[in-house]
Amino acid sequence: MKRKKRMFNLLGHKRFPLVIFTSAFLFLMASHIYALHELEKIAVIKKEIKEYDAGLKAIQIKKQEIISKQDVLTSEIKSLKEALKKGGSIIKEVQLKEALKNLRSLIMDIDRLDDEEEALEKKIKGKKGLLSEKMALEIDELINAGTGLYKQNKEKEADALYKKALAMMDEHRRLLGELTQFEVKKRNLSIIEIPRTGFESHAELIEMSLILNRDVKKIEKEANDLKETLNSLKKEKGLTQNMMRFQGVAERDDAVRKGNGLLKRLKDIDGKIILLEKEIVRYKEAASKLRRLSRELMEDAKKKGMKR
Amino acid sequence: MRYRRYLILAVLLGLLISACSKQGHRLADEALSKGDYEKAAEYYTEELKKTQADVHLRNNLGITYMRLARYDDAFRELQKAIAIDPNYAKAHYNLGLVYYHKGLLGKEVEEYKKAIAIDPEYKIARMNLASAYLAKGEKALAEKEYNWVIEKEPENKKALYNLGLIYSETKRRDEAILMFERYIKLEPKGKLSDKAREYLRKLKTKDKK
Repeated sequence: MKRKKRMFNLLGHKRFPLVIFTSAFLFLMASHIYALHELEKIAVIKKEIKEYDAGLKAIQIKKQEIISKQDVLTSEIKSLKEALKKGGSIIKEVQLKEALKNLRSLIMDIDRLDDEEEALEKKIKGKKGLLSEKMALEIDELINAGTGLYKQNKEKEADALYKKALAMMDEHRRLLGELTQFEVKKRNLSIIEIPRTGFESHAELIEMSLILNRDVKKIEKEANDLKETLNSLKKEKGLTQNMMRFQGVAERDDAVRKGNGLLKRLKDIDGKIILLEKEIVRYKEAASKLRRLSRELMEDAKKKGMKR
Repeated sequence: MRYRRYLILAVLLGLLISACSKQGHRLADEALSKGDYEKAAEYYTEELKKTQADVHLRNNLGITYMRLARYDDAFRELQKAIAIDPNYAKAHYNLGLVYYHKGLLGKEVEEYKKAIAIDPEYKIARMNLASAYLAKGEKALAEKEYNWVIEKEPENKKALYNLGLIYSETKRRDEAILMFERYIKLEPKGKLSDKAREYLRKLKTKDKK
């Protein structure tokens, strides 16, 4: 009875409209802040991805510069070696030793940059995955908010939100494409033939052998990644071919014929599969050549060690 | 007496407006069914200026935009149709189609499901949901939808053929044979009958082996 009375009092209270208005205002503010919060999160993730991308590009440029230096140095070493074969000179020998030292340092630099590149690529992928989740939530939020506004007869405002939702949907689809598409990057796999002088010390030979061995492992890992991509592509091909067998899967809208789109997709997948298979062979060849070189260096090192 | 005159006048005016509106509606619907989408869009837009909250008009304008490949416009109209009446199954189904055209498979599935939740007898929505599941590689879910359709419509050729394929792929030969036989019986000279016969022959050969 008391409670009823209290309620009655509240409803009849002269400040009741004010209470309702304040609550509605607070609710709207809270939902606005929430929406802003999500959008801000998306903006932050996008900024991070942009920064990582910039970092990745910087690494790739730096790597390319080092590779160019390496090419110059390799040919310099070769000519020094040739000159030494014709007739020894202490200056040339010193020059060669110095050049080899520099070359080894360049190879180490490339190794380090490779690691940094891989780590950044992983981070970017992770961030993109997170961004995709946030975007999916935000799209629903925008649609719901648009519907709410339309119900309040605010058609223009609703249209603006629908437009935003559509733009985000397109962006989201592109992002999902990036995350699932199998980019076949042709990597420069020129094998660094570390020119030998025959005067390398035991320690230097071991060091060179270890560098090459590390490269072997790296290339093998990349080859395995490529194999995984190939398997996924084959699976996708199977799925696409299967879709084409069923009636109405490719053309869910009877009014529009889209079958050619699937044929194109199949052709794209086939092209990628051919490219990947060639790449895997190239990686395997590179790995076995490097492994052989590494073993040779290690055997020489052992021989030198025994002589000592 | 004087009031009665005004009342009659108001009723007549109302009838006239309603007749004009129906005329506009009819013209728009006719244009849509004839495939004159530009005209249909024009008529529907004109009509919507008079009655903004007409769910059928919004839905049909959405379809018209879809036929004109203006998928973003179609999306907006269908969202509004859903805002007016969230239980209007057709708008959800058409929105599913818009998502299909936009390449958003997940959202497409969501909308077909909503349409079916509102109207469980919505066969086209179930057929499309099954197709979308197949596109996602979810055969078991597709099978469930096709089976539902066949139960209600035992002569649905598309469902029979696709079920035949699903059973054949999931190594259920007897069921697959049955589906293909039913399909061929219904469509002995259809564009896929030869393929169905080929599948049937292979399945039966395997059986003998």
